[in-house]
Amino acid sequence: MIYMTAGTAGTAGNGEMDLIDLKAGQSGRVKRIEGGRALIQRLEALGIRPGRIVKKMSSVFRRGPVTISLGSFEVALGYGMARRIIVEPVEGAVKRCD
Amino acid sequence: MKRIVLMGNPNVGKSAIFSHLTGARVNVSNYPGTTVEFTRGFLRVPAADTRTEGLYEVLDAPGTYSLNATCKAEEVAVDLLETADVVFNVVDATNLERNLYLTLQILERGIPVVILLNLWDEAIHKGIDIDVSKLEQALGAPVVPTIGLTGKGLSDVIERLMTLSLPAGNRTPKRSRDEIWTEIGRILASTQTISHRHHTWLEILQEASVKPVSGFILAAVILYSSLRVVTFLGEGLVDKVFDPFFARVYTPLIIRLHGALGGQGLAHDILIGRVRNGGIDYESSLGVLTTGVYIDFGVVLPYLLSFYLVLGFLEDLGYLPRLGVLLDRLMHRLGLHGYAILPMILGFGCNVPGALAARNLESKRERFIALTLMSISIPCAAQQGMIVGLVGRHGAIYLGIIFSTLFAVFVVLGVLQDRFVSGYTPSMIVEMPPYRWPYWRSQGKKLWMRMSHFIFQATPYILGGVLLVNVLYATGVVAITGHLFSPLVKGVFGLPEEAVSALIIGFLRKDVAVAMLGPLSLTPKQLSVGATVMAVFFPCAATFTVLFRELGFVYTLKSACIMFVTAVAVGGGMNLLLDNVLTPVSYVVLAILAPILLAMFAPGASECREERQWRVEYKGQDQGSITVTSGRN
Ligand SMILES: Nc1nc2c(ncn2[C@@H]2O[C@H](COP(=O)(O)OP(=O)(O)O)[C@@H](O)[C@H]2O)c(=O)[nH]1
Ligand SMILES: [Mg+2]
Repeated sequence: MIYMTAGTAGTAGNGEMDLIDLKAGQSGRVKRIEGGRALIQRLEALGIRPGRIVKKMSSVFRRGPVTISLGSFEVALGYGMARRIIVEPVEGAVKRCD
Repeated sequence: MKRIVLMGNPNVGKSAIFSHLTGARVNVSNYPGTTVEFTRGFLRVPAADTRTEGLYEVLDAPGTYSLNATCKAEEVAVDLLETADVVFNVVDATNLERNLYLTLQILERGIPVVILLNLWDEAIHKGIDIDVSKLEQALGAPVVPTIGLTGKGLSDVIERLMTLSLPAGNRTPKRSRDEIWTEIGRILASTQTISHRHHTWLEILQEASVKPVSGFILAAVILYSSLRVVTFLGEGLVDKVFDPFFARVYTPLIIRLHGALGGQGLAHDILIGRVRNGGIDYESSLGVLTTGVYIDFGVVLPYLLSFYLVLGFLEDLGYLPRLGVLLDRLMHRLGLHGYAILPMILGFGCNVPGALAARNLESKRERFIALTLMSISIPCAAQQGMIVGLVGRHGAIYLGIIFSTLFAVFVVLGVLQDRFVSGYTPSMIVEMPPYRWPYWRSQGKKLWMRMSHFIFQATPYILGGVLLVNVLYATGVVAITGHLFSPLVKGVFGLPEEAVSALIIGFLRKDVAVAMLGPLSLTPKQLSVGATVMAVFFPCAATFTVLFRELGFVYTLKSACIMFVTAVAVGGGMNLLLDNVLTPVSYVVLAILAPILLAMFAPGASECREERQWRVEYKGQDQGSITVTSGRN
């Protein structure tokens, strides 16, 4: 997995990371989903799509599933899936979703 | 007749609404994936209007998030949509954003739609305010707030159905996915306001349930107390209700019948069986009306009742998917992902619904592993009840032997299948239902549905099973097959030849089969071996039918081979170890610890394969990935 180091202009982020590396309790804006069309459509139907802010609730063990909140509901994603969702951390920008 | 199809995301209350509309009984539970096949029912509306016929056919479709079906259950839903004259789109009012994605896709199809804004009570409770008439305008279709639990709002839905005008052809041009999301954003901004509110304790508990430390503590507490409640209630029912009933009411009746039949003869022996010193021993008399009825109502029913009471509570609370999250890591070692715990838990009630729920698993590999594991190592509640009743009296340690062996089989077989069954296990994506305090009326309905299913569907098999035992004995089949399988049953399992009859009955009903071990006056060790072999050996006929339907001939055959080999290995192993090598306590400790260590240190075969699969998919479809360009939101 390659991590980009430079933050994108106009956001409070400090680079991209996948959902595994995002800390529990932290929010991130989805940048892209590294997967095939099926995976992208599947996640999109749940509202997980580029631009959407998600909050990581918890993860179980190092290689266990990750639970994220999309405001009004939560989704659990297996480790492999969570690794393929690339987000950019945002701070204190989740008023709308809380 | 016109056809109404109920469409919506998983777990939004479609089935609850369906049962209110049609009066038909369906399973309603608080987690995604309850409905995997559609259910049909009928709705009669007063024919006030000549344009609308009086009788409608209503179909309860499996939940789907979009019309681009991504799994089998979703495909069913999308296929049903094609056949609909009218769609009732059930929408979760507390989750409009996600739900409207499907709604907008359905509206594009140009089929008349009524939108049911369900869970309206919960939306109000959560401080979500939706302007219904504005939403109606924005969507261009009738929107009606409803409460699936009570059926509130459904009369309005029917009224709107009658005045529904049929649109001509496609109403909305097809939009791109991005356009749909933009549209949803616009609609939400103008129709929905959310007032801030503090977390409820259910929400705090919800969070704690999937965090590593608190999650496992909670899981231990919940599982342990469930077990205690089931045994407490079960024993209580037996002691306070069923035993007194049999002693005071039923036995005198049977004694009278015994007299009326003259105390002997074919009819007497079949109905009442052997009578010893003028008393009835329900466990060993082997009569249809004595042993048969006693197994059914005296042993299994109380256990089943308490089991389903607890299961129903956990289902409606919304806990089970969270257990799946906690166990995902471990389940991967067995070639499954965490959500596969759900069919397994349902299997503890009855393997049939468990096997059906396995349909939610995506790959054929997972379904094969899950179904095989379930049929082999998950005893249904009826069987458990019988085991507890028969073996438990010799001491809890013997129950420990049986259940720890089944656990060991579950894990070891899972690890082996993970290695040797080809294919891959995708990671899970599951929506976590919110915790909801179970509503007592729907709990009661569900319990009644399950109990009446047992009473009306299983009872004939139980009574028939006992009858069959009599026939097998009388015709000498038991003696012949006993001789034939004597090397296996006697030599390997260390059981008497008569135990063969029990194994044969096991094809029909497991509870009856375990009960057959009762009259053989076995030692506790032999009982444990017998009961375990019975569980592992083969699924009951009903489960087998489902296996066959879900897996096809070849895979069912493979599965059956695994069952047979496992049964021989396990029965032989127990017989050997328990006799000379290990004390019961050390056996139980070993049977629990060894598989856990194995699972922890065995390399996860499917995980490597999963990685590979994805790399391939990613490379192959690189164009498909989207990169965000704007910072909207
Ligand atoms: N509070 C509340 N709960 C509901 C309502 N409708 C359904 N439920 C509950 O929501 C859960 C999901 O219902 P179900 O009918 O199984 O959903 P389905 O998966 O869409 O068929 C169950 O626990 C229901 O009891 C409602 O209007 N209000
Ligand atoms: Mg349903």
